[in-house]
Amino acid sequence: MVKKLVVISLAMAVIIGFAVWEMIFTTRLYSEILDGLYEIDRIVGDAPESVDGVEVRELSDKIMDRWNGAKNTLFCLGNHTILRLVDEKLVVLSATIKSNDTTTAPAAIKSAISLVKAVSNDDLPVPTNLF
Amino acid sequence: MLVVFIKSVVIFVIVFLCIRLMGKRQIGEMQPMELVITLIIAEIVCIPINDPYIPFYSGIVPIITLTFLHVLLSFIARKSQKVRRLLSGKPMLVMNKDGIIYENLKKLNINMNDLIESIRTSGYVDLNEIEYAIIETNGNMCVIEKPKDPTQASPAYLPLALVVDGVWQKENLALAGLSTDAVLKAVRSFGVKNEKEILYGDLRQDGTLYASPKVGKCFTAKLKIKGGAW
Repeated sequence: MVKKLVVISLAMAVIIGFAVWEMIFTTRLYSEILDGLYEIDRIVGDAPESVDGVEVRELSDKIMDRWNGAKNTLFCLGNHTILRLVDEKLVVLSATIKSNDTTTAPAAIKSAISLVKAVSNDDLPVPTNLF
Repeated sequence: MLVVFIKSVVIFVIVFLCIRLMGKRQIGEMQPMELVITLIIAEIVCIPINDPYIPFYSGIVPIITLTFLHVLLSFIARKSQKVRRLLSGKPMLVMNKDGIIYENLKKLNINMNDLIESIRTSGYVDLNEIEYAIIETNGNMCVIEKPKDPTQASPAYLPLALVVDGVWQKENLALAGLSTDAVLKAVRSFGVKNEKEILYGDLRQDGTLYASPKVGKCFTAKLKIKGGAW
């Protein structure tokens, strides 16, 4: 019995360790993406007539690089349907910025922020997740 | 399809190992806690197998967590009788010499049809043949039949547990009208110094004490009891 308890406790410790790593990894990733999105939102808010400025393009590329680099790991951890939705939002946002679509860009930014924020919250044990 | 196949094989291995860790009881008669854990695991494993959009991780975490909880609670229950009673409840007498104990049926939330069915499943059709019927914590029924001939030398007894895992069962001692000293006096002649050395000890209505020490052979001793009306 003690041997079994030790074996399962070790397995549990690995799982807890992995869960902590997952929480740190996803929180950091989503926080970096959100920071970038908020910055784009601010710049576009200040100058709504041009969304394809150098700064916005750089930020958008940075977000896409960060997302593409972590995407495969995220697919091992979360619901693929939700992650594909985030992927789609970010790809659409990037394309909208590159095409200087001033009509759609503000909505695409807000929508991406809202979704990334919601997905980020899903990884943490907050009351809205637990109940 | 290959994804589902690989997931099925891996989940099978994980669940198999977890069930092995949980012990033999998981595949036989289950206590309430074991039933709950088995039901949840059975439900959880299907999700990552069937849904290609749910990663392995989501299935493995609850399986390992539930197995851990099960092994931990079983370990604690083995050490503590209070936890054991909390997790599994206690066996309950539903029939005695005076007939069916309706109060206990109500406590167990079983009706007469359930009782009759259990009795028949135990191999008895006539309730008059039964001296005692006990519902065990795993839901099984244990029946002790009346002696066929009341004059025969070996009447039916319902042993009353006095010591379990080295701990006095005070309710049962009171029921038997015995003191701990009286029991210890009887067992000392067999080399048992105190109750901690007894793994299990029970008493029959005729005053026969059966004891199985943690080390050494089991033995019986005669005790003087008042009445034995349990």
